[in-house]
Amino acid sequence: MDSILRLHKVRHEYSGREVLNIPELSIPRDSITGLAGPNGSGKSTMLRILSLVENCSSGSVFFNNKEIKPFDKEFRHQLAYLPQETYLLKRTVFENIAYGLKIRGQKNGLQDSVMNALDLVGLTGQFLSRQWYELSGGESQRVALASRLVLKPACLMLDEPTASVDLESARNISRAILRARQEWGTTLVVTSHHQSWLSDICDQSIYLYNGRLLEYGYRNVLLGPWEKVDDQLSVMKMTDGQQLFVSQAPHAKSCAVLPSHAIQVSASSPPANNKQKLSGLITGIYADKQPELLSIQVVCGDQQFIITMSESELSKEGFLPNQKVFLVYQPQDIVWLP
Amino acid sequence: MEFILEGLVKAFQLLYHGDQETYSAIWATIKVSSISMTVSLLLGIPLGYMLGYLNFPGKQAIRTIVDTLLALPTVFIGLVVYAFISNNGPLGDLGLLFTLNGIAIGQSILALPIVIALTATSVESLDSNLQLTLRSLGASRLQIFLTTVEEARLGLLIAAITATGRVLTEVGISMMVGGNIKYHTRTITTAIALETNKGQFATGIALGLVLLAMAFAVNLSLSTLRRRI
Repeated sequence: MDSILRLHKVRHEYSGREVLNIPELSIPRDSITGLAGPNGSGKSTMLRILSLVENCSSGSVFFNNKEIKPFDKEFRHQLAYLPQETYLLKRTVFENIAYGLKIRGQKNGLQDSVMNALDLVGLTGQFLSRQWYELSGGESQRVALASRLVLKPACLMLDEPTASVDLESARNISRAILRARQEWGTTLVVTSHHQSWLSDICDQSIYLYNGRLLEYGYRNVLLGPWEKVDDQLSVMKMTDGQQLFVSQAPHAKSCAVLPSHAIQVSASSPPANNKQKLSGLITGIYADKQPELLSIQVVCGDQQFIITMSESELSKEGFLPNQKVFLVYQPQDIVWLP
Repeated sequence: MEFILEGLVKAFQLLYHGDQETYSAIWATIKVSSISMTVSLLLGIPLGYMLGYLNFPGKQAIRTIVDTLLALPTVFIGLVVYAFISNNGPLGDLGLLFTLNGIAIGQSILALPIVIALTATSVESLDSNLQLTLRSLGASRLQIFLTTVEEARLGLLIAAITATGRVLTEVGISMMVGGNIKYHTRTITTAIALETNKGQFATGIALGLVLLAMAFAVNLSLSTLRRRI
């Protein structure tokens, strides 16, 4: 696999507290990599380290197999990063988008480059002369994205680009991301809380928890908190009043994964036995990364589950979006993460 | 009340007839305040930026010292500068005593803490995402400094206005270091003090009005600039 970016033994800490520990991670060239995980899992820190905005406490970052550091003149113009909280310079939209080109010494063709970038994010030329304070939240986010896309970076890191924007802005941002890769082969690393959006747009996904990579993919991570029921079971109370029973939790804030293959989906309520069940709603059916498999996204309270099944299985069961279903699992199938 | 009106009339007469002594004091004031403001802005903005932007051991102590220097009495600065540039002082050979450059040194010391403190406050109050954004766009350290200064331009303008006001209106430094020499180091403020001591209230008021007009002109031009940026 040809990797454009690589983290090697990267550790990062704030005030002595470890927030990231990645022994080895490669980002394939021309790919879109999704980075998922709960708040505080280290996603933003990892993006800042990958984009040379922040230096890691120890370890190395490689770009095209060369070790890179913040402010490296040779590489800093090939990487761009869009923070979660975007900041626009106190200037017009044109000046904001042209800023990165100007600091790279470009003087000619600024107007055309800026117009192309605006078009990529679905904004018109009427925005060019607008001041930063004349834009809505979604428009600001798109202008901020345009100011990165105009640079045609080899790698672009996007931190929650669709958070707190409306549906149209989110759609335009997705389109712009895909066009950036298609038109000039930009490699993208994107974080988002929207797992369905990530799985829709990304070639591969990585799940971070407590600053570490989870080996089980990004699916069906259960964050607790757990309450002890007896010597064998613990329970997590969900927002819709349902209870998710699991094998005894190591401690109240342990993290667990319910593997996709351990969940059965049923349209009718299964008979009572030693298995546990949850009722939920199908919120989406997507093509899985594995050929001939489909992913069914089921939401139970505030917990999202993704279950994979074959096309024939799905058509046999006749599952449809917005359909109420039951998820059946064994508490001992839960995998506790270290 | 009569001498105030008399002063107003005399102010227009002095200016209209091109009174040499008055214009000499005006030019001395403009020259010396321009030099001191240029020096204090050139030194104060980078120092204020570093104080507001960087985190280093002793930063809080330096901040406290700079804030304390905001209240420096002008006569004290005058005394210290006098001690350094008088014939017996360590810089006595430079021949700066009783010159406009000598006054400019004292006024720069007066303006510098104002520019540093207000620039630091202005930089500190900028959105913390600014630096992240500039680095994420590939800016170098120098480009980050220049853009940050540009983003803090309103705060810097306020620093410049405040320092200019303080420099234009000070008496102690001009009097002690400049010596109030007619046609040479006499500034508007030292001329006002002298005329008042001589009982020439009308001339004093006339010069005071000129000083007021200058302060107004500086503020007007800066506030026009503020509206544009």
